[in-house]
Amino acid sequence: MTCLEALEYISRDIDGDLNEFEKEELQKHIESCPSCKKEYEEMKSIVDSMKNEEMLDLPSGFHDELMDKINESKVVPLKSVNKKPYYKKYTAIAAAIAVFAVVGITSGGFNLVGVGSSASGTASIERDIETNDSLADNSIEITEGEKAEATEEESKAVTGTAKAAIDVPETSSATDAAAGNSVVSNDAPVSSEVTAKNTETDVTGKAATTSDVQSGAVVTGSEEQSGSTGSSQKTGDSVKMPQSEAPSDNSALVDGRSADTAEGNTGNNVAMPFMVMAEMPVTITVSATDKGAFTEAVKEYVSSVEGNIDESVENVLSVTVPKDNYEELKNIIKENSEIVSDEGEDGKAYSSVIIKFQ
Amino acid sequence: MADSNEITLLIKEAQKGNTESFGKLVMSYEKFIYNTAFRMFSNQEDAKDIAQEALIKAYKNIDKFDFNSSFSTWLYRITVNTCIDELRRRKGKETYSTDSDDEETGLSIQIADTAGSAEEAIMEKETVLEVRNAINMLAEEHKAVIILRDIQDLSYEEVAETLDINIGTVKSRLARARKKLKDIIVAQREQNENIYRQNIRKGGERL
Repeated sequence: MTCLEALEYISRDIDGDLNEFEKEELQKHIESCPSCKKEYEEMKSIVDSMKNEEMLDLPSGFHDELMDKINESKVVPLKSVNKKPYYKKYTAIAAAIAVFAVVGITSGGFNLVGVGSSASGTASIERDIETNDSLADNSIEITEGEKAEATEEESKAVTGTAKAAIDVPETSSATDAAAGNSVVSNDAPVSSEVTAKNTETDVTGKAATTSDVQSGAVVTGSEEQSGSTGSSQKTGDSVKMPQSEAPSDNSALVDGRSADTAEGNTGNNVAMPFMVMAEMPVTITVSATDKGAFTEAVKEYVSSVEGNIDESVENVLSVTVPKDNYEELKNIIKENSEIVSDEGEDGKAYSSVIIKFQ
Repeated sequence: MADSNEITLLIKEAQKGNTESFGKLVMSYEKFIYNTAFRMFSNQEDAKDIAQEALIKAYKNIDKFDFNSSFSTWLYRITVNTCIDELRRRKGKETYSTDSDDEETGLSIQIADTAGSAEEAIMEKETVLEVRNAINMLAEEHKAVIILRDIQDLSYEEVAETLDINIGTVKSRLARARKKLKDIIVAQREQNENIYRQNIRKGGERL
């Protein structure tokens, strides 16, 4: 054994990583090599002294400060949740990166853009991007804060009058066009009509939009990369919502003629991005005697309404259905299992449901 | 912390933008992350800033977590990379010295807990400072592997996953880093001894 080889053996021996045979070899070398013997002793004593280093306690308020920063950063991670073509019919709109922003929100104060305003105000946004995997890395960054609030009147106006017709050329290539279709699922007092219209949007892209367009949404072409390395930031598609300015860099947008909306701040060439508000999922815990049959029944129903189901977590079914189908979904669940607990509010519909097996 | 099912659920929720779930998810790793950053920077203020920066990065990129590695090492990787980036950014821009102020280094707190007597405390503190200074002089990669393995006590596997290198590389890099660290410390000691001897000689001359 050379001294160079011995070095790694010494280091590994300190960690208890040598087998009997290797240990013997090292021992033989050390006995005949005073400098490696010294090396061993010194290294061991230094490594041992480092083991005595104690962990510092976190500075007080560390966690709260972190959470404040995160909430302020208004950055919402995006994930392509649905792999199935729930929204396949919108694929053509995909040309539009942009889809649609639900901005003005009623008095309930849950607003899309005002993420930072309250804990629950953190809009979680799901995007459903089925056609292009590379888009799965998208994140939506909302750079504009509190401006999204609209008065109740405004919101009404919104649901009443604001409809933006977005012409999407059929020929536009959905996959290339980077746009994900988004699903709007509103939980909070977002007017549900708006939501419904969003989800009903068809290929020709008649999308209902809201009035307060101060946050005209733009999709920029920046892309954020592999966070796993933490150090490098690839750029990703992020949807930015600048405040009251007509986006200049949204060439990829649909040739959108957005009907002037109540507030009309948009500028003519701004298509309303079709954005999605994900709601908090509701968790229902069930006890099913026949889990397989239960799962099948749920799956069958979910696929019949073009919903989505994710079974990747053990003992959990993560289901997305159109909100209108929530009641029926619950009936299916009831028929096939016993509901142990249901976090949902009575009479309220959800589109994102986590079914946990007890 | 919660069982793995619960962690998975929290991750999925966080991926949908639920900050509360993210908060719950990372809470139990914060101390580790903060301490790793502290060892990398030897200064509590930087440690706090960097640790928070790393966690915010983790939040922004949580959708890219693909469940192929463990969540903890994924977080640690972001932490280490954030530290290394910052260290490199600063390099050349400023010479930052290890602050020997107790409050900054956090030494007083530690020693109080571990030491039996005042002399032992001083001795131990000296060794700790000696090692800490030496760690600061290591190249970033060596620093990281030493901190993760010897101070934070991660296994070879965890170190490998965190640094995104294979286990063989962990073993050889660790050996080289430890050797380097030892050489720095030995050199420091010799230097100190020389100064000490010189002082004695000078003292003798004066007498």
